[in-house]
Amino acid sequence: MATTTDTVLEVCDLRTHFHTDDGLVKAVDGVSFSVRRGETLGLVGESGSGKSVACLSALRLVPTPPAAHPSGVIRFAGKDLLTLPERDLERLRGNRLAMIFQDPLTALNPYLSVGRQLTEVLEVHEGATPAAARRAAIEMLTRVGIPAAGQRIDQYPHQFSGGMRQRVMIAMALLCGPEVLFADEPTTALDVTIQAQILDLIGELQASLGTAVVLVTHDLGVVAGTADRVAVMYAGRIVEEGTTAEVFANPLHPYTQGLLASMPRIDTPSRQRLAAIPGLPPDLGQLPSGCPFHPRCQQAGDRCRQAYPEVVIASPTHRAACWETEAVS
Amino acid sequence: MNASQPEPAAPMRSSPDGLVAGSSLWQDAWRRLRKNKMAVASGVVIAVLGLACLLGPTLLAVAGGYDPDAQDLAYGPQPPSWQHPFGTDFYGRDLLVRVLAGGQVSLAVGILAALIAALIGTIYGAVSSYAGGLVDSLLMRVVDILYALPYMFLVIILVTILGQSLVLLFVALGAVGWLLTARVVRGQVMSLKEQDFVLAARSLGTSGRDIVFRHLIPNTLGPVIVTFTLTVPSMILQEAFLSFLGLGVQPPHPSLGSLINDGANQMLVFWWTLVFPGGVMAVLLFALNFLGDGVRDALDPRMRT
Amino acid sequence: MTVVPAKAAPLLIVDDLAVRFPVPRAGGWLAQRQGEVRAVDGVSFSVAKGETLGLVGESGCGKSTTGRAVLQLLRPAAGKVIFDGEPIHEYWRRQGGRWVWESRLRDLRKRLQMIFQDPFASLNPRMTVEAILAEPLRNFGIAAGSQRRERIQQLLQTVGMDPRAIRRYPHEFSGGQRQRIGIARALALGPDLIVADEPISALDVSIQAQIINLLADLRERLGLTLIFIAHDLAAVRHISDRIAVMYLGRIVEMAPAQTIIDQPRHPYTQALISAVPLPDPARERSRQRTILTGELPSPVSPPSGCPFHTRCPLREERCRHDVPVLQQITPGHQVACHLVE
Repeated sequence: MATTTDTVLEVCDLRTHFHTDDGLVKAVDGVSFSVRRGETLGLVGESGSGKSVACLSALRLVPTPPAAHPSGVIRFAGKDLLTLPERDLERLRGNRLAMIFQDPLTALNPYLSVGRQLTEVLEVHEGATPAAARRAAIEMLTRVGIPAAGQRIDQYPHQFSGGMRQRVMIAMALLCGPEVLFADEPTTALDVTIQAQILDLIGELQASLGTAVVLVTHDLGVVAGTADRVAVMYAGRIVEEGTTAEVFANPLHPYTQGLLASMPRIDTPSRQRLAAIPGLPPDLGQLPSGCPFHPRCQQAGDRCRQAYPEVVIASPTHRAACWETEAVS
Repeated sequence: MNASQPEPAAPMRSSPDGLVAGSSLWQDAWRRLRKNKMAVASGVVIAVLGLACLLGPTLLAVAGGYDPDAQDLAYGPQPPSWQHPFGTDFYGRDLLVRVLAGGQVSLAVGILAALIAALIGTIYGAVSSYAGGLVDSLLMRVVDILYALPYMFLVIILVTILGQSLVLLFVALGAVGWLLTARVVRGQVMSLKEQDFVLAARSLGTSGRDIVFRHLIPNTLGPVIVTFTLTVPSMILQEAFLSFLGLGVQPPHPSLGSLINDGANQMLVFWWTLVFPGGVMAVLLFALNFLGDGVRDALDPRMRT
Repeated sequence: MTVVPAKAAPLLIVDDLAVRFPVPRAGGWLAQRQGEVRAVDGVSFSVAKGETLGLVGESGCGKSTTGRAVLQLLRPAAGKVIFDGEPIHEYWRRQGGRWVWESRLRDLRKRLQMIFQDPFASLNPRMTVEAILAEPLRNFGIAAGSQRRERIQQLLQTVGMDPRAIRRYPHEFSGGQRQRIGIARALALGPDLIVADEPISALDVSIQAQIINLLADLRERLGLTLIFIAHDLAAVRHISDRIAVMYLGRIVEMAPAQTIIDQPRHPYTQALISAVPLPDPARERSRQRTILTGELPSPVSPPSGCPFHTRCPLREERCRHDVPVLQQITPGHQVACHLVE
């Protein structure tokens, strides 16, 4: 993908490996992607696909050990985040690079009031005075849709409901107007009606602040509604990447095809048999040879068992790593 | 069904009868324990010390006529030599054989008292949480009150009232040592009771007794064993402290505590009478604690998915 | 798939079911039990033999509690549960201050079974697969020795597992495989009615379809009657003949599965459907959404009147005071809303 001037974050050949009792686990193994200003990239995959680890690695938040230091290059604001001194990185995290997590209750400090946690961000990163920080925090809480923010700012995380806590997390993440927001399964723990509210909120704020969003999720439905581009991950690698329209209309990789076909949906005839993907996601400690998807793939041939597939390019924006798909595209 | 034979998550090892061998959580824990070098080394140290304490005094008596209680006042205290590697004490008794005999008493007190504590604690804790409600509240308040009382004071009262014998010492130590186990087991059963597998067992028509014995108790054994391994050294320390006060094992029989007490009185003159019993005691306690930590880490790996 | 004849005698009738949980207030060491949560309130439905009823709703709506009360794993505070003509809600007796099952209710475990949400918590980690599947057989003295083992291996094959795996332990399997073991356990006694409580929500996307297909196959093959509980409307619609939508302990709408999707009448059902994301970018972006404002009220202090009025975009004055009752608007389609006539 051509790097344009708009690109705010570029991840090249990121690898994060863990040393465990069961041997070397390649959680992220050569992942590259980029996001442009105001764009949303959907990073899709199942548990163990490496999507969350990839995000955490990009911010160098994976604990080492057990993980080895991630390798590759992560370009942001003319610097490589992977070689940046920890102190410089801390200045970027929470300020120009923000992250929201699946479970806001564990991500917020239970012993500090919401206001303290919000104003701290501003005071540390922007040198705001306490009074100004408090004003800004109340304004942001109001903006993310927390009623009576002036009073609720002094409450503690457990006094908020799940949806409200996620709003607090978003307020905290967006307080300094970050250029990139990593959202790791931000709505998975929430009910669907609340999920719709939160996704709308992220979209609105993104449009007004021009933030680039990396949305990590397992839900293709969420991606369809919010992402501009999609990267599908399997066994630590991106197996398909393209604009959302391209990937959903013409999925190249058999795994993407399988995921789309296996989803029960409300807009298709009822009680059809689901086209399930057979087998199980692989154990990252002992990946099969060649393409890691081949044991579950109905189109797999001899080449798939021997070597990792080369990239098939369907359009300047759409590509997949599969031996068997070139005939299709 | 296109997914009728999913691959197993882990490699299958076949056993002779054609079935796939599983590995229980106990086996997994044992494997992890064996990988822990400190724990293995501690286990070896404990085994060597234990064997030496168990067999040493008898072997030395048969082979060299060493008697831990035989006094030879004329011989008096001698520094370590080839004949007496740990030296002799004020009464001319060989210190090596006395340390080994004392270790025997200390280990026996530690293990037996910890066993009594584990037994009382497990039953008390399980009954309390299984009964629930008012019974639970009352039983646990009793534990709270006992916790609040000065622990050593209780033991001293018990020993004073019940008289000084080795058996009563076990009982006295065990009787106040179960509080921790009771709390651990109660907490464990409380959270287990809410687990879906207990509800599943009920929905399958499993009786209350089977739920307690097949589902609840096997799942509390891990924490009970951990508590047990960490209670043993603390019991040994308590016994040493009581003996130090003169309330434990009575002379002329040695225990590590009473030996240290004797040695402490003469350490400026006869240094070996403190250094050897104290050294053995320290090594034993270190090894027991490291083993206990190893067992805890092996049984409770946070990484388990 | 077979279409259930409308006049088949119901296997299960639930009438005005209520379940209440005491809420202990913080206090002294003999905490007084005050207050209660009405987890389920006035729920009525019936399920025909061979039919699948889907129960949907968001967290805290009482759908799981309803499932447990139907199976008598919880004692209903009020209402009737009639299974195959037997009033099983009456099969309880008091013993030592606690309510326990009568023996005939224990015997009914053979016909009433459950599949659990969390395949990690619902299998005893200290038991082998063989011990897990032997438990129901042992409880009722069914088969013994080599016969029992054969039976267990058959069960594993039924759910698509390797029958050689009986010596293995739950932690050696993935989530989907554990769920298969849980299903095998529920099938061990040859039940007529199975309550599947969120059986797929803890599983990976690619595994969910496998389990849905397995349940659909087993239902056909064994003639099971299913109550399928989930928050995922798409999955529920896929496997259910009829769907009941729950909100704050009550059923707000109930209709054949396709009718619920095509012609939802209750404002909550409409919002729920519009919030289900479609894996289709063009349609997802163009469709009209009803985004609810506000949060789910606490079941400890539910709103007066219609439980949904605090979030309802169409609420009127009477919604604040009067509780709407579930009314039939067309044959088989029931709605509890003042605005639907």
